Amino acid sequence: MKAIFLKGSPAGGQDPLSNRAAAAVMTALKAGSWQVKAFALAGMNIKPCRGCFSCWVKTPGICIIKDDGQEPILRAWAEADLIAMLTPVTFGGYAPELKKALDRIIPVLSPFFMQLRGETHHPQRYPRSRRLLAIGTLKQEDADSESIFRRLVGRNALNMGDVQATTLVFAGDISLADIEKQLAAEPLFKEVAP
Amino acid sequence: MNGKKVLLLVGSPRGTASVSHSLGNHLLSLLEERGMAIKTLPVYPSLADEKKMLELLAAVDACSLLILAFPLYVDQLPAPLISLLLRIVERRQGRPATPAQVLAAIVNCGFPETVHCRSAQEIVRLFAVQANFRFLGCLALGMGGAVGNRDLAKAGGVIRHQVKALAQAADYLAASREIPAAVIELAGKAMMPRWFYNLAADWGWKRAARKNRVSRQLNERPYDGETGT
Repeated sequence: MKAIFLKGSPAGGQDPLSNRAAAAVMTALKAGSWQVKAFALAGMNIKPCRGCFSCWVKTPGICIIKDDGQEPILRAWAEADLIAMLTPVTFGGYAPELKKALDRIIPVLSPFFMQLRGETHHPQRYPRSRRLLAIGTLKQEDADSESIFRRLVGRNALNMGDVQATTLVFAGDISLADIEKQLAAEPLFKEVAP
Repeated sequence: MNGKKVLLLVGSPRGTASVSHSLGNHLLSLLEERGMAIKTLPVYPSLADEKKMLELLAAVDACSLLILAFPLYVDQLPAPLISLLLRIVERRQGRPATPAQVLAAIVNCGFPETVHCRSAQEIVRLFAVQANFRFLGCLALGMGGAVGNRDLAKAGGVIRHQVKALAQAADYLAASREIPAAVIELAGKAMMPRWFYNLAADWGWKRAARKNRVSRQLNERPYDGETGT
Protein backbone atom coordinates (compact mmCIF):
# COMPACT_ATOMS: atom_id res chain seq x y z
CA MET A 1 0.00 0.00 0.00
CA LYS A 2 1.29 3.41 -0.95
CA ALA A 3 1.08 6.67 0.91
CA ILE A 4 1.96 10.24 0.08
CA PHE A 5 2.86 12.45 3.02
CA LEU A 6 2.60 16.19 2.42
CA LYS A 7 4.56 17.63 5.29
CA GLY A 8 3.58 21.25 5.73
CA SER A 9 5.76 22.07 8.72
CA PRO A 10 7.22 25.58 8.58
CA ALA A 11 10.81 26.01 7.39
CA GLY A 12 13.83 25.87 9.66
CA GLY A 13 12.24 23.87 12.46
CA GLN A 14 10.35 26.97 13.64
CA ASP A 15 7.46 24.89 14.90
CA PRO A 16 8.63 22.09 17.23
CA LEU A 17 5.11 20.67 17.63
CA SER A 18 4.72 20.33 13.87
CA ASN A 19 8.10 18.62 13.68
CA ARG A 20 7.12 16.19 16.44
CA ALA A 21 3.86 15.40 14.66
CA ALA A 22 5.71 14.86 11.35
CA ALA A 23 8.13 12.45 13.01
CA ALA A 24 5.24 10.56 14.63
CA VAL A 25 3.38 10.23 11.32
CA MET A 26 6.48 8.79 9.66
CA THR A 27 6.92 6.32 12.52
CA ALA A 28 3.28 5.23 12.28
CA LEU A 29 3.41 4.84 8.51
CA LYS A 30 6.61 2.82 8.65
CA ALA A 31 5.19 0.64 11.43
CA GLY A 32 2.25 -0.08 9.16
CA SER A 33 4.60 -1.07 6.31
CA TRP A 34 3.35 1.72 4.09
CA GLN A 35 5.51 2.65 1.14
CA VAL A 36 5.77 6.35 1.86
CA LYS A 37 6.71 9.22 -0.40
CA ALA A 38 7.20 12.18 1.88
CA PHE A 39 7.53 15.76 0.75
CA ALA A 40 8.94 18.46 3.04
CA LEU A 41 7.01 21.26 1.38
CA ALA A 42 8.59 24.26 3.09
CA GLY A 43 11.89 23.59 1.33
CA MET A 44 10.35 23.04 -2.08
CA ASN A 45 9.99 25.62 -4.80
CA ILE A 46 6.30 25.25 -5.63
CA LYS A 47 4.98 28.28 -7.44
CA PRO A 48 1.39 29.48 -7.02
CA CYS A 49 -1.34 28.08 -9.26
CA ARG A 50 -2.09 30.58 -12.05
CA GLY A 51 -5.72 29.51 -12.44
CA CYS A 52 -5.09 29.02 -16.17
CA PHE A 53 -6.76 25.57 -16.40
CA SER A 54 -4.11 24.44 -18.88
CA CYS A 55 -3.91 21.22 -16.87
CA TRP A 56 -7.48 20.54 -17.96
CA VAL A 57 -7.71 21.82 -21.52
CA LYS A 58 -4.18 22.21 -22.93
CA THR A 59 -2.04 19.49 -21.36
CA PRO A 60 -4.66 17.31 -19.63
CA GLY A 61 -3.39 16.00 -16.30
CA ILE A 62 -0.11 17.93 -16.47
CA CYS A 63 0.57 21.32 -14.90
CA ILE A 64 2.35 23.69 -17.26
CA ILE A 65 4.27 25.37 -14.43
CA LYS A 66 7.61 23.67 -14.17
CA ASP A 67 9.21 23.79 -10.76
CA ASP A 68 11.09 21.41 -8.55
CA GLY A 69 8.30 19.69 -6.77
CA GLN A 70 5.00 19.42 -8.48
CA GLU A 71 5.44 16.51 -10.86
CA PRO A 72 6.72 14.12 -8.17
CA ILE A 73 3.78 15.13 -5.97
CA LEU A 74 1.22 14.53 -8.73
CA ARG A 75 2.83 11.20 -9.53
CA ALA A 76 2.79 10.07 -5.89
CA TRP A 77 -0.79 11.34 -5.41
CA ALA A 78 -2.03 9.42 -8.46
CA GLU A 79 -0.89 6.09 -7.07
CA ALA A 80 -1.51 6.72 -3.36
CA ASP A 81 -3.88 4.64 -1.25
CA LEU A 82 -3.42 7.08 1.60
CA ILE A 83 -3.00 10.83 1.41
CA ALA A 84 -1.48 12.17 4.63
CA MET A 85 -1.26 15.91 5.20
CA LEU A 86 0.25 17.87 8.06
CA THR A 87 -0.15 21.58 8.69
CA PRO A 88 -0.20 24.16 11.42
CA VAL A 89 -3.86 25.17 11.69
CA THR A 90 -3.99 28.69 10.26
CA PHE A 91 -7.20 30.69 10.72
CA GLY A 92 -8.86 27.26 10.93
CA GLY A 93 -7.42 26.26 7.56
CA TYR A 94 -4.11 25.14 6.14
CA ALA A 95 -0.86 27.08 6.30
CA PRO A 96 0.72 28.27 3.01
CA GLU A 97 3.32 25.47 2.98
CA LEU A 98 0.68 22.77 2.52
CA LYS A 99 -1.76 24.96 0.63
CA LYS A 100 0.70 25.88 -2.11
CA ALA A 101 0.99 22.18 -2.97
CA LEU A 102 -2.75 21.53 -2.78
CA ASP A 103 -3.52 24.51 -5.03
CA ARG A 104 -1.42 22.81 -7.71
CA ILE A 105 -3.12 19.43 -7.35
CA ILE A 106 -6.07 20.11 -9.66
CA PRO A 107 -4.52 18.14 -12.55
CA VAL A 108 -5.65 15.02 -10.63
CA LEU A 109 -9.24 16.08 -11.27
CA SER A 110 -11.26 15.97 -14.44
CA PRO A 111 -12.78 19.29 -15.56
CA PHE A 112 -16.25 17.80 -15.93
CA PHE A 113 -18.94 17.87 -13.29
CA MET A 114 -20.57 15.00 -11.42
CA GLN A 115 -23.07 14.81 -8.56
CA LEU A 116 -21.98 13.55 -5.17
CA ARG A 117 -24.16 13.68 -2.05
CA GLY A 118 -26.42 16.19 -3.80
CA GLU A 119 -23.55 18.54 -4.67
CA THR A 120 -21.52 19.17 -7.79
CA HIS A 121 -17.92 17.92 -7.78
CA HIS A 122 -15.19 17.02 -10.24
CA PRO A 123 -14.49 13.33 -10.93
CA GLN A 124 -11.07 11.98 -9.99
CA ARG A 125 -8.66 11.53 -12.89
CA TYR A 126 -7.15 8.57 -11.02
CA PRO A 127 -10.12 6.92 -9.31
CA ARG A 128 -9.01 4.72 -6.44
CA SER A 129 -10.25 3.73 -3.03
CA ARG A 130 -8.24 6.19 -0.96
CA ARG A 131 -8.12 7.44 2.59
CA LEU A 132 -7.22 10.83 3.87
CA LEU A 133 -5.32 11.58 7.05
CA ALA A 134 -5.16 15.25 8.01
CA ILE A 135 -3.17 16.38 11.00
CA GLY A 136 -3.34 19.90 12.30
CA THR A 137 -1.21 21.47 15.00
CA LEU A 138 -2.15 24.38 17.21
CA LYS A 139 0.11 26.35 19.54
CA GLN A 140 -2.68 26.26 22.07
CA GLU A 141 -6.12 24.69 22.17
CA ASP A 142 -8.65 26.67 20.16
CA ALA A 143 -12.07 25.09 19.69
CA ASP A 144 -13.14 27.53 16.95
CA SER A 145 -10.03 26.90 14.82
CA GLU A 146 -10.25 23.17 15.37
CA SER A 147 -13.88 22.89 14.32
CA ILE A 148 -13.27 24.92 11.13
CA PHE A 149 -10.27 22.69 10.39
CA ARG A 150 -12.28 19.51 10.87
CA ARG A 151 -15.06 20.75 8.58
CA LEU A 152 -12.51 21.81 5.97
CA VAL A 153 -10.92 18.36 5.95
CA GLY A 154 -14.42 16.91 5.50
CA ARG A 155 -14.94 19.17 2.47
CA ASN A 156 -11.58 18.09 1.04
CA ALA A 157 -12.50 14.44 1.55
CA LEU A 158 -15.72 14.97 -0.41
CA ASN A 159 -13.84 16.69 -3.21
CA MET A 160 -11.36 13.82 -3.32
CA GLY A 161 -14.23 11.49 -4.20
CA ASP A 162 -15.94 11.14 -0.83
CA VAL A 163 -12.96 9.36 0.69
CA GLN A 164 -12.88 8.31 4.31
CA ALA A 165 -11.07 10.93 6.35
CA THR A 166 -9.32 10.87 9.71
CA THR A 167 -8.64 14.26 11.28
CA LEU A 168 -6.35 14.72 14.26
CA VAL A 169 -5.45 17.98 15.95
CA PHE A 170 -2.55 18.25 18.39
CA ALA A 171 -2.21 21.31 20.55
CA GLY A 172 0.17 22.82 23.06
CA ASP A 173 3.19 20.97 24.36
CA ILE A 174 2.02 17.41 23.73
CA SER A 175 5.02 15.08 23.66
CA LEU A 176 6.26 12.98 20.75
CA ALA A 177 5.46 9.83 22.72
CA ASP A 178 1.85 10.95 23.25
CA ILE A 179 1.40 11.82 19.59
CA GLU A 180 2.84 8.43 18.60
CA LYS A 181 0.51 6.72 21.04
CA GLN A 182 -2.53 8.46 19.55
CA LEU A 183 -1.48 7.67 16.01
CA ALA A 184 -0.78 4.05 16.86
CA ALA A 185 -4.31 3.74 18.21
CA GLU A 186 -5.84 5.03 14.99
CA PRO A 187 -7.74 2.27 13.16
CA LEU A 188 -6.48 3.83 9.91
CA PHE A 189 -3.03 2.37 10.47
CA LYS A 190 -4.32 -1.03 11.55
CA GLU A 191 -7.10 -1.67 9.05
CA VAL A 192 -5.46 -0.69 5.78
CA ALA A 193 -1.85 -1.65 6.19
CA PRO A 194 -0.94 -5.05 4.72
CA MET B 1 -16.40 62.12 0.68
CA ASN B 2 -17.10 60.93 4.21
CA GLY B 3 -13.44 60.42 5.15
CA LYS B 4 -13.72 56.63 5.13
CA LYS B 5 -11.22 54.69 3.05
CA VAL B 6 -11.92 51.31 1.52
CA LEU B 7 -9.17 49.00 0.31
CA LEU B 8 -9.91 46.08 -2.02
CA LEU B 9 -7.34 43.29 -2.09
CA VAL B 10 -7.77 41.03 -5.11
CA GLY B 11 -6.57 37.55 -4.20
CA SER B 12 -6.72 35.98 -7.64
CA PRO B 13 -3.69 35.07 -9.76
CA ARG B 14 -5.59 36.47 -12.73
CA GLY B 15 -5.59 39.97 -11.23
CA THR B 16 -7.77 42.44 -13.14
CA ALA B 17 -8.89 39.69 -15.53
CA SER B 18 -10.55 37.76 -12.73
CA VAL B 19 -14.11 37.28 -11.51
CA SER B 20 -12.83 38.34 -8.08
CA HIS B 21 -11.73 41.69 -9.48
CA SER B 22 -14.98 42.12 -11.37
CA LEU B 23 -17.07 41.55 -8.21
CA GLY B 24 -14.78 43.53 -5.90
CA ASN B 25 -14.44 46.41 -8.29
CA HIS B 26 -18.19 46.72 -8.66
CA LEU B 27 -18.65 46.77 -4.90
CA LEU B 28 -15.91 49.38 -4.67
CA SER B 29 -17.61 51.66 -7.19
CA LEU B 30 -20.84 51.39 -5.18
CA LEU B 31 -18.95 52.39 -2.04
CA GLU B 32 -17.40 55.33 -3.87
CA GLU B 33 -20.92 56.47 -4.75
CA ARG B 34 -21.63 56.35 -1.01
CA GLY B 35 -18.79 58.74 -0.26
CA MET B 36 -15.85 56.44 0.44
CA ALA B 37 -12.34 56.88 -0.97
CA ILE B 38 -11.38 53.72 -2.84
CA LYS B 39 -8.17 51.85 -3.60
CA THR B 40 -7.50 48.46 -5.20
CA LEU B 41 -4.36 46.35 -4.88
CA PRO B 42 -3.60 42.90 -6.27
CA VAL B 43 -2.21 40.44 -3.73
CA TYR B 44 0.07 38.27 -5.87
CA PRO B 45 2.64 40.90 -7.05
CA SER B 46 3.22 42.05 -3.47
CA LEU B 47 4.39 38.61 -2.40
CA ALA B 48 7.29 38.71 -4.84
CA ASP B 49 8.27 42.31 -4.12
CA GLU B 50 8.92 43.51 -0.56
CA LYS B 51 8.48 47.17 -1.54
CA LYS B 52 5.01 46.43 -2.90
CA MET B 53 4.30 44.37 0.20
CA LEU B 54 5.16 47.26 2.50
CA GLU B 55 2.95 49.59 0.45
CA LEU B 56 0.12 47.07 0.68
CA LEU B 57 0.55 46.67 4.44
CA ALA B 58 0.58 50.45 4.87
CA ALA B 59 -2.65 50.65 2.85
CA VAL B 60 -4.19 48.02 5.13
CA ASP B 61 -3.16 50.09 8.16
CA ALA B 62 -4.75 53.19 6.66
CA CYS B 63 -8.10 51.80 5.52
CA SER B 64 -11.39 51.97 7.37
CA LEU B 65 -12.87 49.02 5.46
CA LEU B 66 -10.81 46.14 4.07
CA ILE B 67 -12.41 43.96 1.40
CA LEU B 68 -10.91 40.64 0.31
CA ALA B 69 -12.09 39.29 -3.04
CA PHE B 70 -10.78 35.88 -4.00
CA PRO B 71 -11.53 32.63 -5.82
CA LEU B 72 -12.06 29.39 -3.96
CA TYR B 73 -9.05 27.09 -4.26
CA VAL B 74 -9.41 23.59 -2.82
CA ASP B 75 -12.23 24.59 -0.47
CA GLN B 76 -10.48 27.65 0.93
CA LEU B 77 -8.30 30.67 0.16
CA PRO B 78 -5.46 30.50 -2.39
CA ALA B 79 -2.04 29.95 -0.75
CA PRO B 80 -0.62 33.42 -1.57
CA LEU B 81 -3.59 35.09 0.08
CA ILE B 82 -3.08 33.01 3.24
CA SER B 83 0.57 34.12 3.25
CA LEU B 84 -0.53 37.74 3.06
CA LEU B 85 -3.08 37.34 5.86
CA LEU B 86 -0.34 35.89 8.08
CA ARG B 87 1.84 38.96 7.34
CA ILE B 88 -1.05 41.24 8.25
CA VAL B 89 -1.65 39.43 11.56
CA GLU B 90 2.07 39.47 12.35
CA ARG B 91 2.25 43.22 11.69
CA ARG B 92 -0.78 44.02 13.82
CA GLN B 93 0.19 41.86 16.80
CA GLY B 94 0.83 43.89 19.90
CA ARG B 95 -0.58 47.05 18.37
CA PRO B 96 -3.29 48.96 20.13
CA ALA B 97 -6.79 47.87 19.17
CA THR B 98 -8.27 49.73 16.23
CA PRO B 99 -11.96 48.98 16.57
CA ALA B 100 -12.85 51.37 13.79
CA GLN B 101 -11.41 49.03 11.16
CA VAL B 102 -13.84 46.60 9.61
CA LEU B 103 -13.51 43.73 7.15
CA ALA B 104 -15.72 42.08 4.54
CA ALA B 105 -15.03 39.56 1.79
CA ILE B 106 -16.34 38.08 -1.43
CA VAL B 107 -15.50 34.52 -2.39
CA ASN B 108 -16.52 32.96 -5.68
CA CYS B 109 -16.32 29.39 -6.91
CA GLY B 110 -16.96 27.58 -10.17
CA PHE B 111 -19.33 25.09 -8.59
CA PRO B 112 -23.02 25.94 -8.74
CA GLU B 113 -23.50 25.57 -4.98
CA THR B 114 -22.19 28.04 -2.42
CA VAL B 115 -21.86 25.30 0.22
CA HIS B 116 -18.34 24.79 -1.17
CA CYS B 117 -17.41 28.27 0.11
CA ARG B 118 -18.41 27.77 3.76
CA SER B 119 -14.95 26.91 5.06
CA ALA B 120 -13.48 29.94 3.28
CA GLN B 121 -16.13 32.17 4.87
CA GLU B 122 -15.21 30.82 8.30
CA ILE B 123 -11.48 31.21 7.67
CA VAL B 124 -11.95 34.87 6.73
CA ARG B 125 -14.00 35.41 9.89
CA LEU B 126 -11.25 33.92 12.03
CA PHE B 127 -8.62 36.03 10.26
CA ALA B 128 -10.67 39.13 11.11
CA VAL B 129 -10.69 38.13 14.78
CA GLN B 130 -6.94 37.45 14.86
CA ALA B 131 -6.06 40.61 12.94
CA ASN B 132 -8.34 42.76 15.08
CA PHE B 133 -10.86 43.76 12.42
CA ARG B 134 -14.58 43.79 13.10
CA PHE B 135 -16.03 41.23 10.69
CA LEU B 136 -18.99 42.41 8.64
CA GLY B 137 -19.54 39.28 6.56
CA CYS B 138 -18.44 37.31 3.55
CA LEU B 139 -20.54 37.05 0.39
CA ALA B 140 -20.23 33.72 -1.42
CA LEU B 141 -21.10 33.18 -5.06
CA GLY B 142 -21.32 29.94 -6.97
CA MET B 143 -21.37 29.68 -10.78
CA GLY B 144 -18.42 32.07 -10.95
CA GLY B 145 -17.90 31.09 -14.57
CA ALA B 146 -21.16 32.84 -15.45
CA VAL B 147 -19.96 36.14 -14.00
CA GLY B 148 -16.76 36.33 -16.00
CA ASN B 149 -14.66 39.44 -16.18
CA ARG B 150 -17.32 41.95 -17.09
CA ASP B 151 -18.43 45.37 -15.99
CA LEU B 152 -21.18 44.54 -13.53
CA ALA B 153 -22.54 48.10 -13.64
CA LYS B 154 -23.93 47.26 -17.06
CA ALA B 155 -24.82 43.67 -16.25
CA GLY B 156 -28.26 42.30 -15.52
CA GLY B 157 -29.81 39.09 -16.74
CA VAL B 158 -28.57 36.01 -14.99
CA ILE B 159 -26.50 37.92 -12.43
CA ARG B 160 -29.24 40.34 -11.40
CA HIS B 161 -29.53 38.81 -7.91
CA GLN B 162 -25.78 39.20 -7.35
CA VAL B 163 -25.75 42.80 -8.60
CA LYS B 164 -28.67 43.56 -6.28
CA ALA B 165 -26.93 41.84 -3.35
CA LEU B 166 -23.75 43.88 -3.92
CA ALA B 167 -25.79 47.11 -3.90
CA GLN B 168 -27.49 46.11 -0.65
CA ALA B 169 -24.18 45.02 0.86
CA ALA B 170 -22.68 48.41 -0.07
CA ASP B 171 -25.35 50.19 2.00
CA TYR B 172 -24.42 48.16 5.08
CA LEU B 173 -20.67 48.35 4.54
CA ALA B 174 -20.76 52.12 4.02
CA ALA B 175 -22.43 52.35 7.43
CA SER B 176 -19.92 49.85 8.95
CA ARG B 177 -22.81 47.51 9.67
CA GLU B 178 -22.85 43.73 9.40
CA ILE B 179 -24.16 42.34 6.10
CA PRO B 180 -27.47 40.61 6.92
CA ALA B 181 -27.90 36.90 6.21
CA ALA B 182 -30.63 37.72 3.67
CA VAL B 183 -28.13 39.69 1.55
CA ILE B 184 -25.56 36.87 1.74
CA GLU B 185 -28.31 34.46 0.69
CA LEU B 186 -29.28 36.70 -2.24
CA ALA B 187 -25.66 36.83 -3.45
CA GLY B 188 -25.53 33.05 -3.38
CA LYS B 189 -28.74 32.55 -5.30
CA ALA B 190 -28.39 30.30 -8.35
CA MET B 191 -27.96 32.31 -11.55
CA MET B 192 -29.58 29.57 -13.61
CA PRO B 193 -30.75 25.99 -13.13
CA ARG B 194 -27.91 23.81 -11.93
CA TRP B 195 -28.32 21.30 -14.77
CA PHE B 196 -28.02 24.07 -17.34
CA TYR B 197 -24.91 25.60 -15.72
CA ASN B 198 -23.24 22.18 -15.49
CA LEU B 199 -24.09 21.44 -19.12
CA ALA B 200 -22.71 24.81 -20.24
CA ALA B 201 -19.55 24.35 -18.16
CA ASP B 202 -18.89 20.87 -19.58
CA TRP B 203 -19.48 22.23 -23.08
CA GLY B 204 -17.06 25.06 -22.38
CA TRP B 205 -14.27 22.65 -21.36
CA LYS B 206 -14.89 20.52 -24.47
CA ARG B 207 -14.81 23.60 -26.67
CA ALA B 208 -11.53 24.80 -25.13
CA ALA B 209 -10.02 21.33 -25.54
CA ARG B 210 -11.12 21.20 -29.19
CA LYS B 211 -9.49 24.58 -29.78
CA ASN B 212 -6.26 23.20 -28.25
CA ARG B 213 -6.61 19.96 -30.23
CA VAL B 214 -6.68 17.76 -27.13
CA SER B 215 -10.32 16.63 -27.21
CA ARG B 216 -9.34 12.98 -27.11
CA GLN B 217 -6.84 13.52 -24.31
CA LEU B 218 -9.18 15.19 -21.81
CA ASN B 219 -9.29 12.11 -19.58
CA GLU B 220 -5.63 11.17 -19.98
CA ARG B 221 -3.84 9.78 -16.94
CA PRO B 222 -0.24 10.79 -17.50
CA TYR B 223 0.93 9.43 -14.14
CA ASP B 224 -1.02 6.19 -14.13
CA GLY B 225 1.08 3.18 -13.21
CA GLU B 226 4.20 5.23 -12.72
CA THR B 227 6.51 4.30 -9.93
CA GLY B 228 7.56 7.86 -9.23
CA THR B 229 10.95 9.34 -8.68
